[in-house]
Amino acid sequence: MTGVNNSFYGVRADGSGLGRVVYSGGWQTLNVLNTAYKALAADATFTGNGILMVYGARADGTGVDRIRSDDWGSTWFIDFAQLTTKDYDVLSTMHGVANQFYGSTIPEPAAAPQFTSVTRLGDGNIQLAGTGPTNAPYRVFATTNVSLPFNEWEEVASGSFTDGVLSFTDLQATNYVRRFYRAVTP
Amino acid sequence: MKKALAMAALAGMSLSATAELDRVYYSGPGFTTLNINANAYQALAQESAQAGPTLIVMGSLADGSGTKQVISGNWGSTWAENPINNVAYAKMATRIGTANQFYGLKADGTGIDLIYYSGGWQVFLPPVSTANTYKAITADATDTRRLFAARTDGTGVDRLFFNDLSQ
Repeated sequence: MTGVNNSFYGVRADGSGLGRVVYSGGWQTLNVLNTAYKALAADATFTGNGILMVYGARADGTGVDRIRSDDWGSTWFIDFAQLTTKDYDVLSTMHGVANQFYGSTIPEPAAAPQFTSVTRLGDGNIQLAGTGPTNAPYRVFATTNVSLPFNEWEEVASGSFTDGVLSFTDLQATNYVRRFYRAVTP
Repeated sequence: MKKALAMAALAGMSLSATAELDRVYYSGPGFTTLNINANAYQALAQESAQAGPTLIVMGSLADGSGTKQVISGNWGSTWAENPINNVAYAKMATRIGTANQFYGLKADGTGIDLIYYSGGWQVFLPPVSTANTYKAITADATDTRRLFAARTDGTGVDRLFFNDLSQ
């Protein structure tokens, strides 16, 4: 908490909200709000006249609230709900400057490539279908011995996940008793 | 005709959506968001000695490739990114009141670094703490030697005291 020693805000790991921890002869944990936040940043300058402020990025990704107390933390309220609707994962206080903070967004990992169906065609060949990150490149590898190191697998196809879809027919499949396939990006 | 059996495996991962670092500030009657760059940082710590026109924030990249200084010399009109080190920090905390310094909780779980600038970026050795594994840190506002750290195992929060006054 900027300007106040031995005091900090914390998001409770159980998702039940945020608290304020202060030292007053012993450590005290005080509840602030029961709203779930994933990141916090204290306002840098409002620590006088009983005003305390902290910014909270909502855990559900719907934006950032400013949480305020006008009585040294006895009571709290949200005085700016969704001051931005951006989904920040990390917030940082701007010390020395009022009413400002930094926010960083970390993209969610795209779905990993996966095969969704394996079909033996009438001519005995194998048709594979799968999904992956839209327009990302992919390569398909094959082997008859799944225990081989991956660098010994044979690359049998490559392309892009057009509209997020992979489609590949192994025209060599009839030459093997069994064959294992693996799709990777890139 | 030989029969072929197929098994599917998956591998690889890529990113979607938008990575960004923003500065958000009040300009009545509401807040304004200004984009700084298009990088994703998993941890941030503002440099506390600068409050304009030079603005500085340190960020550890979400891909684990290292930590950068993001700096503007003109109140945020333009920004540049400079390398600090190749260490991935899961959390960072401003060392309030000291220029170009911050604490970094290493993503590999090996402790907390104090990073400072002295002709180049340095990491104070040994780490401030390796006694426990932590998942979050924040610095005390008025005593630059104090850190609060939440334990990974959920058993509570420690106050760490950095006893070396040389940095």
